[in-house]
Amino acid sequence: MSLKSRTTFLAFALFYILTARAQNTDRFSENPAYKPALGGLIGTTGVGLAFYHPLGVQFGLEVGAGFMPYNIQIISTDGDYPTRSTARARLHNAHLIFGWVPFHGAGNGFRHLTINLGAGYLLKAQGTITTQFRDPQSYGEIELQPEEIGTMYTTINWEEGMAPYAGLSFSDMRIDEHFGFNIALGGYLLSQPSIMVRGTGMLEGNEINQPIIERNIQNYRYLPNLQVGIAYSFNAY
Amino acid sequence: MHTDMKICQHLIVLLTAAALFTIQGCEHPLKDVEVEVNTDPFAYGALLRITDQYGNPVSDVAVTIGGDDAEYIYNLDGYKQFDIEKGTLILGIHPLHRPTENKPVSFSVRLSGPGYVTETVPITITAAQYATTYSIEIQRTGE
Repeated sequence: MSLKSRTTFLAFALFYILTARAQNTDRFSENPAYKPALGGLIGTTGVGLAFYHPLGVQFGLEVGAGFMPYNIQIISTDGDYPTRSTARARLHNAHLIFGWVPFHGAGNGFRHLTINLGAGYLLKAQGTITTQFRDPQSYGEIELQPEEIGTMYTTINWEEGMAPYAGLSFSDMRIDEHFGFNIALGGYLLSQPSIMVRGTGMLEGNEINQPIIERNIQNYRYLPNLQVGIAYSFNAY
Repeated sequence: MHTDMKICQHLIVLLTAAALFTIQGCEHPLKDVEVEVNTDPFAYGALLRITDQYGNPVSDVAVTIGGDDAEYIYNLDGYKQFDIEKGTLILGIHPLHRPTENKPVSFSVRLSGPGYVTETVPITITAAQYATTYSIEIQRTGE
């Protein structure tokens, strides 16, 4: 190897090492999961907005709010009659979640892994199931439509207040220089729900089902949160 | 970024599966619930005890329902066939035509048959009267 070749090789090697060190330094000096950003969220706990802020290179903060406007139709046979139920969930929250980025220096996607701990404040936490017969019923020459027979209302209430949150997320996976993608899985721990069953019309008396429903929902204390979001970083990265 | 997005795709599948697993772990809130329905649709009705002038139950007379709300009167099986059994006639009011405070249900019961003087009895059922009992005396003729 000539001197010129060796010089060129050494120059490239030095450049490579310096560049690599510089990249390595970037990896350790920049929080890979949190940038100052504002984002939209959608998931099992509803839709919402969140503000993200890094706290050093391996911690971060998410402050946000969400509301759950879900209505679900359920058709089932409860007892001798096919029924149609509509479940309405209204579970609105404001949340503050801290994140720890344990692999913030990793060279692969796990640098985005974040362990989340925090709490939500439940502004409203109520589920209502409205149940009617699916089909009309005949009594001799009298035919009654489901809404004329009556309705059974099952109301599930959780207390307003703080709900601890724990979960994992992959945060700020870059889409481009301003936008990052988040995906999170976690859960809120809710208070023990209370139940009220009320029947109208010919469904009066269904209060007797209250203990059965109380038993069924005794584990409804974990609100799973599978959530995706896109956040806009105020600075380009 | 390419690697990030690939990881992301796997994560979405994994986390969705985990969330569904968690949600599936919850009982259906209405599991084992048997929706109870009142099989008697008649919240309001009238019980008529029909006797002759001697106090004997009368069953062999024809019943005709008339008056403003006649179309809403049924027997307890939901039919417009009115039979007297052992001097007792039970009538029900259509469940969607219940009396209200401002509008009671009014109809008449006409009892007629060979050997009896035809009797027509007006009946009014108010919102407070869920079950009303009437005693009706019908005169035997020729005695």
